[in-house]
Amino acid sequence: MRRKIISLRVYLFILLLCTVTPITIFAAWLVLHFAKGERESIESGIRDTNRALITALDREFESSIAALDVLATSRLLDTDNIRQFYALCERARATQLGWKSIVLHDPSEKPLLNLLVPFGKPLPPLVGKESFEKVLQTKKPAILELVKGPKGRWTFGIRVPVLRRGEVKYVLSAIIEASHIGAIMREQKLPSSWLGSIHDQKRHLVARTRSTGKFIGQNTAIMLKGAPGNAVEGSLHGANVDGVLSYSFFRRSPFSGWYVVMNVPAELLDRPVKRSILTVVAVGLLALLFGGLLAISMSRRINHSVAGIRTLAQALGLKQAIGQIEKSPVSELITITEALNDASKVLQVGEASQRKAEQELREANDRLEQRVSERTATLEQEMRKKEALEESLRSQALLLQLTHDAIIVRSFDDARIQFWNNGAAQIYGWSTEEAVGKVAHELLYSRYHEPLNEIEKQVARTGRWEGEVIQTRKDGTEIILESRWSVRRDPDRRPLEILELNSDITSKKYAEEKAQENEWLAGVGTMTAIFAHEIGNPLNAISTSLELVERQLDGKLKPQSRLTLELASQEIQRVSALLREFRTFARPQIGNFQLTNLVDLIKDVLVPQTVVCRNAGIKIKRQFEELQPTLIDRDKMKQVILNLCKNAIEAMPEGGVLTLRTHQSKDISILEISDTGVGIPQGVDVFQLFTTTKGNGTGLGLPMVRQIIAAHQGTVHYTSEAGQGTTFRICLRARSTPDGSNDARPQEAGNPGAAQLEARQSVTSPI
Amino acid sequence: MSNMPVSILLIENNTLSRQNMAAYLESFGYLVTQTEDGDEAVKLINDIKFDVVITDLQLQCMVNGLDILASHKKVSPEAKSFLITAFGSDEVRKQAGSLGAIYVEKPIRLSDLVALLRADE
Repeated sequence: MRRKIISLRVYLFILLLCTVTPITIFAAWLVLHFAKGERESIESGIRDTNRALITALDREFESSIAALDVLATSRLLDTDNIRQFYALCERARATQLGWKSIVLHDPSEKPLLNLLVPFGKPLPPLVGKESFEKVLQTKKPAILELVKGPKGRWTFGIRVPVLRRGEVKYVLSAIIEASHIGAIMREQKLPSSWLGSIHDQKRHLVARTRSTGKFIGQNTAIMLKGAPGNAVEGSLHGANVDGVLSYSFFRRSPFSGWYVVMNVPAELLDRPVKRSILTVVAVGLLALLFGGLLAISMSRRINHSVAGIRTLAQALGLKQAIGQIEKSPVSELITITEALNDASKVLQVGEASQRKAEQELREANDRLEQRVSERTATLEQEMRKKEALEESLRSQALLLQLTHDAIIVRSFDDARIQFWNNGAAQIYGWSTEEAVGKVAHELLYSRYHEPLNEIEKQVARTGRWEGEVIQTRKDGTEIILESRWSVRRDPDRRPLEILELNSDITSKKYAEEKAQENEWLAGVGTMTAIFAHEIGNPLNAISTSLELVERQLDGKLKPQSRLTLELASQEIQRVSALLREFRTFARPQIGNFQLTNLVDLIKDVLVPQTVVCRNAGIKIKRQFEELQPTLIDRDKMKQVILNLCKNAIEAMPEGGVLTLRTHQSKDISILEISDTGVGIPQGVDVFQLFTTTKGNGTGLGLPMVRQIIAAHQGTVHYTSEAGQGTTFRICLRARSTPDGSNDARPQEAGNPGAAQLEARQSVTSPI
Repeated sequence: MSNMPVSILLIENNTLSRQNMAAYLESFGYLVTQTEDGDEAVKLINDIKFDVVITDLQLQCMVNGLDILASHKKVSPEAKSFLITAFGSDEVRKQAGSLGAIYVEKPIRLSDLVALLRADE
């Protein structure tokens, strides 16, 4: 269970309420209590006043009765000397205050005397018969109620019997002015706010402290209306005749039956109570207000002090310096503040020594750290060096795999491959798994420009070798590589391994060759163009001359002359044929490329050769593997095949075997035309212009073959062994667009010689 | 037409060749006009209506054989013509063909030329 957390201010308010409220209530109760007492005392005062008034009234009546009794006992009445009694009565009236008249009646109600009427004159009849009869019956005095006189004056009377021999002889009455009663009341000197009134036995108002004339004779006392007839005393709360809320107290005289009514305004009685209560409540509220303000201010000051102490405590907790704390108005808080201050001082002292110790420790630590960091730096430097070395080794190893060059490590003795990098796999097509363990020269059919054993000797001696090598890839294609060898030796300086770095320079070589060839072709083109032109015209002159002569001397020529002319003509035809070949070579019209099945083309070319070969005792071997169709200028390619076949046939005058073989390696179509003929002597490049090994060769055929194959983006090479035969190998890359490959442009555009010539001729030709 | 001799305009640089050709053709009854000047040839073609024009490709003037053939074709669209050259090409051959000319490479055989001339006669 959680206790509700209440702020100090609320606590103070609760305290205030708990103290002020009961005090206020008690005060109110006390006030009420005292007010009640006071009220009672006022009430008893009123009652006392009433009693006093009644007593005074009774005494007045008694004194009047006594005066009448004295008159009643007058001897004059014994003798019925009414006349003299009149005079006596006149004298008596003068002594009595308020007496207006004295009236005498006999029991038969006959008026005998009335001081208001001169003696002997007729008298007014009896007024107040009730009291008269009462006197006759009781033979005791009675009070005549208030009556209005003939002149409008209010009077009352007192009747006494005139007893003679125990019998009522006469009834003597004193008629007294009502105002006399008012005088009695005035004598009592009532408080001004009190309203006193005197009523007769019939409850008619006789006298009043104020405005008697207005109310006299009226039955005004409201309270008396409800009061029982024999009630001696009573009180009532209600509005009086003036309409003022008031308390009324009455008292009835048992002797006269008259009433005294005292009317006190309720306000008079209640005001002190109300005022007291109001005062008490006001004081209570003031006390609450003051107390509340005090509580707020107090709680604020205490809170302020508490906040200060809290800051102090926090600072202490953090061991921070403590500022001056405002003095709290609460002694207990001061005590706490002082205690905290003391604690802080103690801590500061402790801290100072601790700081010193820490400082020393820090210095020692710094020294140690410096030593450690120095050592660490040294170590890190060494580590970095080591890492750099490792990194360099790693990157070197990575480089071995990254490079496009082939890196091969093989043992010196048996040439078996020990290491084969990615570059080697890419260049040769053999994977590392396939290559490792194999003899390098056997796997790659390596061909060097010098004998291998010479190279190995050199390597063993110098530790290095550099040169070009022709090798065969897995797909059978040949590539040219630039090879660099380096030897690793054992501690005895004996060659252990050969490290071979081979760069594929086939493309480079090809490009070089092509550039050379283009240059050469340009030169040749120019030369052949000039040659054709310079020869063509004189040859035409000679030719036409011969024909003209023949025409002019037709039938007149001797057979010998005719033969001579015929031979000359033949020679001219030979030169003409040569000239035609030259023209073709100088202006090779290659460019009519069509997607062609090379095998079908070869078969077409072979048809007319079959007879020729049979006659020459040559067997044709056909080893055709289907080839991927590729773009080929059919006429020119036929020319190539025919040319090579003719060369082969001519190389086998004694007969032999002509082998035509096709096979596909990846996207390369390969055609090999082999003969078993005499072979091409070493050191002769038959692709060179005007180079021929045949007696009647022009030296243009193979250059043209090379030209045409080059225009097909292909290569042509040959291998030949004297007496064993020659193999020409044509490799054609599969193409679907003439310019789909690197530089597949029609050869005619690549032969600037002819264009140069034409340009020259069209402007400045001397011909 | 057959009664009238066929007139030929022969344009050729090489004097010996030109004279040989003219003599050879005249021996077959052709009426040959010869010149080595292309400009003159063009003038002649416009003045006289030749039945046949035989011209060398390369001439020592601003016009060449093809220009002459073009002029001739303009004047006589139906007439025969020959283009003779010592160093032709497929392109020249095509151009000659488009002008209705027969393309002949040197050295020419005059007997073949006469055979061609006679072909439609």
